Amino acid sequence: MTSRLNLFLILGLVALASIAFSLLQGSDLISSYQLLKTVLHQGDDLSAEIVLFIRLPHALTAFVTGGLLALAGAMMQVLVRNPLADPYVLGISGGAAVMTLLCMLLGISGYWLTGGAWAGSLLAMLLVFLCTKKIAGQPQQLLLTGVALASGFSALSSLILSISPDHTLRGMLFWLVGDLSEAHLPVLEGCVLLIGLMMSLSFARELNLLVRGEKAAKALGVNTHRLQWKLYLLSSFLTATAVTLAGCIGFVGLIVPHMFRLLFGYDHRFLLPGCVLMGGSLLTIADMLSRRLFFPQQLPVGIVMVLIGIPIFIFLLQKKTA
Amino acid sequence: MKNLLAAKNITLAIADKILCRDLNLEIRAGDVWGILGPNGCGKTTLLHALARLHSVKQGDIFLHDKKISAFSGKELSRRLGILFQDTQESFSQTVQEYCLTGRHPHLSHFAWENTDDKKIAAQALKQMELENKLTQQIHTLSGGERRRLSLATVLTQTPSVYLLDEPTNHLDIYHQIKVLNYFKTLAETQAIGVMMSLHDVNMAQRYCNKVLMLFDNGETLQGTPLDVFTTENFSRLYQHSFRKGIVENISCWLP
Repeated sequence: MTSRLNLFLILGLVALASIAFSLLQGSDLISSYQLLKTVLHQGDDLSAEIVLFIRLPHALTAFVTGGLLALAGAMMQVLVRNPLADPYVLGISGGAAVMTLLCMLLGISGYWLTGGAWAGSLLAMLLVFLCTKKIAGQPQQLLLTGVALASGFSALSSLILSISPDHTLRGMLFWLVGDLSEAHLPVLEGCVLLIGLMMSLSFARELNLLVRGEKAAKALGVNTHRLQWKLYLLSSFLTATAVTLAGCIGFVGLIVPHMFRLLFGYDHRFLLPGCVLMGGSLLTIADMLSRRLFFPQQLPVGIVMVLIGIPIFIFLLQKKTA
Repeated sequence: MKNLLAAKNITLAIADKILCRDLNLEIRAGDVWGILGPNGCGKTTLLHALARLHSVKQGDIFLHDKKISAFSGKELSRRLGILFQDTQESFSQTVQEYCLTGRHPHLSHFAWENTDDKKIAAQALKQMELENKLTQQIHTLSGGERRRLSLATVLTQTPSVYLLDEPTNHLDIYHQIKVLNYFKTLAETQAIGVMMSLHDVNMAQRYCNKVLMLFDNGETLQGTPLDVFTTENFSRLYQHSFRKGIVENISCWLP
């Protein structure tokens, strides 16, 4: 038990450190001394403004997005009982992408773009349900339906890309690989993450049973029908929030739950909060690197995420099997 | 003695195939029931129906004289534990974590397993000779060890009725006898009831005091092994001729 507490202490510190690093290292170097002064309200106005109004929203947006995706991914993997599942596997992001690209094509921006992403996600959720008729009971069918719908959305996205004028293409591509450049202070999304985590923790022990299949969970008294509906709605909602916030950042939702399992085990009561902290930290670091590596050129954060994630993950996998 | 689990006039079917018709069944404290029958005759479906995992076409099932439909999921699984024929795992777990999940129905929503729960799990693992493998990942276990872990998990659930679907699957002779003996002793000393499907008729004769034969055509036959174990019944049940031998005054059955 104490070792688990230590684990969360460490993960919490890593999370804080990643945010602090992100505040320190921006496109414009601000020393830690100045950062400290800013925090204490004694810094000069310009650096204070950079830290508070540009870097802090950026860092927090990255953290919240990473947390949302990792949490949604961990739940989605249990819902379809498949370790290859990620938050996008049921086509939630695909639906959001089609609607967002359509909005961009039509020259719509700002809040309408956010609304478009939301509408697309909800549409995808509805479509998955209509096509499978039931969410609980047949994880295999749910997964295959989701994959089929996701391919459909992907084809539609490509179609929109191919007919879009050149000047909108860059924005579209950035959105598709994940983009944090339009970050605002993610108060609402942060609340969604916190509430989502609380809700998921309320059924975390039941997830330990559901991974063994529906019958096994039922035999130990779990209302599997209700549990799977909760899983579906909550993970879809979290994914939609993340996608609306930052576009389709891949990899976090797939890899972070596996990283946690490799390092710290399979109990969902630890896995879910652990994924939030790990996913958040990882995306914050990726975001910092994406702005810092080829300064002043900025890379899409989704690409950096994948590039730093793959070696870490393969290292862990190798270490575990060896 | 009081009924732990009773089935009244139940008819079971999968799609259009009737598996058993108007079956009456009573599991009392101390009973060890054996279900015998050919593949696909409905042994598993019957066990699932008794555990409320499969709906009955007709009839009612009572647990402690109360309809099983009246229990909540957790209430039911505190009183009734089922061991499945096989298990599926998409993700790993340690042996101890796996076994502790048997305590789930006893824990309130946000509660964690306490030292008592861990003691119960440790005791069950010891009975199944897995006490040295607590921190091992389950996918590193052998088939027989996995089976014993599932048995330890259902023991950790501490129900008053055990429904075991081929509990001796994957087990060597030593462990088969140990497991069957343990459940028999448990039934006799703890006033619990056991019902298990078996394929080994000699084991059934040795460890069960009641037997249910499920025939392919939906007919059933029940009684003590002494009553129903005859070469005619076995030949009819398995569509294969049987011979009877006597070794040290114990009858044994040779297919």
